[in-house]
Amino acid sequence: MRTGLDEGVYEVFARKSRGEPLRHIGYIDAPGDELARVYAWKTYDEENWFEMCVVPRGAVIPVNRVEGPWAKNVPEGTSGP
Amino acid sequence: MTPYTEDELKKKIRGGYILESPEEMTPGYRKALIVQLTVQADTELMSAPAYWFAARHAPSTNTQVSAHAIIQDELAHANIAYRLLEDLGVSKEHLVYGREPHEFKHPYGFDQPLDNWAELVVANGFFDRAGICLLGDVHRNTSYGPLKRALVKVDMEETFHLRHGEVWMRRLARAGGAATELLQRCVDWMFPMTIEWFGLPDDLKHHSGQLDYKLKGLTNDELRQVWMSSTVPLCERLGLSVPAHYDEEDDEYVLEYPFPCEYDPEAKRWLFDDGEITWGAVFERWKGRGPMNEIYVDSVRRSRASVASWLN
Repeated sequence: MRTGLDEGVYEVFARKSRGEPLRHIGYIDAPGDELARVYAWKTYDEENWFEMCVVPRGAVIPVNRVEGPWAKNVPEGTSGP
Repeated sequence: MTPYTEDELKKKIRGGYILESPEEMTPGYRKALIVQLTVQADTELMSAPAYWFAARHAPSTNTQVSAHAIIQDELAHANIAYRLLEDLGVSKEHLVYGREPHEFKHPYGFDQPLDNWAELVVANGFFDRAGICLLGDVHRNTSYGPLKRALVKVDMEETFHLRHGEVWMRRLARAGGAATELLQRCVDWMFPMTIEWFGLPDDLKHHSGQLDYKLKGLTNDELRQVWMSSTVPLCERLGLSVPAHYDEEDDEYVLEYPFPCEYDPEAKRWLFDDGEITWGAVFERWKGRGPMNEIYVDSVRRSRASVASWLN
């Protein structure tokens, strides 16, 4: 059932401080990019992040692994790298 | 399709294998993980209204901020656990908005009203500590990678809740008089409430597979001991009496009341004098839910339908 509050999944990445790797820290459901930024920042507030960004789940293209949350984004007709 | 039989997966897990996606799970593993995550998510979600109603009793703007920061954390933890469930094919929409209030899987303790500031801080000191014991154990042992990563944040924040509870329990204990009496009354009903939260003793527990799949590392009785090993000394330091003590000979904490026993939620009193009851009777009480169940569930979802209708 569509409710008007439908949300998509966003992957959340963050870097603790300069020189640190950008890490996948979790996910958030949001009805669009703008609220995804807000929800991610408010949900993952356990650190004083130097940098945080969100990526719609559908935009992550797997390279070598064909299962897991991004499996359906493998381009059609392709296999491994 | 799962690539393993139940026995093959258990063997791999014993060797340290970490699962990263539902495709790798056997039906047994998936089912056990869903049960575990549903209890976790519902507990975090229902702690929010319990703490929110109590936060109205915060005695200063500073304490309002810290109480609401805790509520905000709990809601984020719930949100993350429901998100993990969604990746296992379970609908968050159904779990949060589609169930009857009594179908939620949180412990009976979060069906009780927290009626003053002392009850809120003891809830932080006792209930959040139970959360740390349970989820800390899951964090250290779980074979499910996404859950292990999600719990980094949860553990960090629950430790803050616990500190908030301990600091305020100490302040109330030092104040003496009415403050200390009130604190003792909180301990009297919330200590046994938390003890019961850890569930069936090991000798009665049906084998659930959670240990075989390494979804957790310690048994119910072991977790109850871990909780008491920090709670009992804390209360003793604060001059509060608790119905349990450390037994040197057996090297374990021992309860000084019939366990399990009946509870009167209206009077907030455990009926120690009526003696031990069966776990069947405890499950009946849990299933009947406590006095705040419907109010708490309604408070987290009352405007869902109207806002959804505006947006359609």
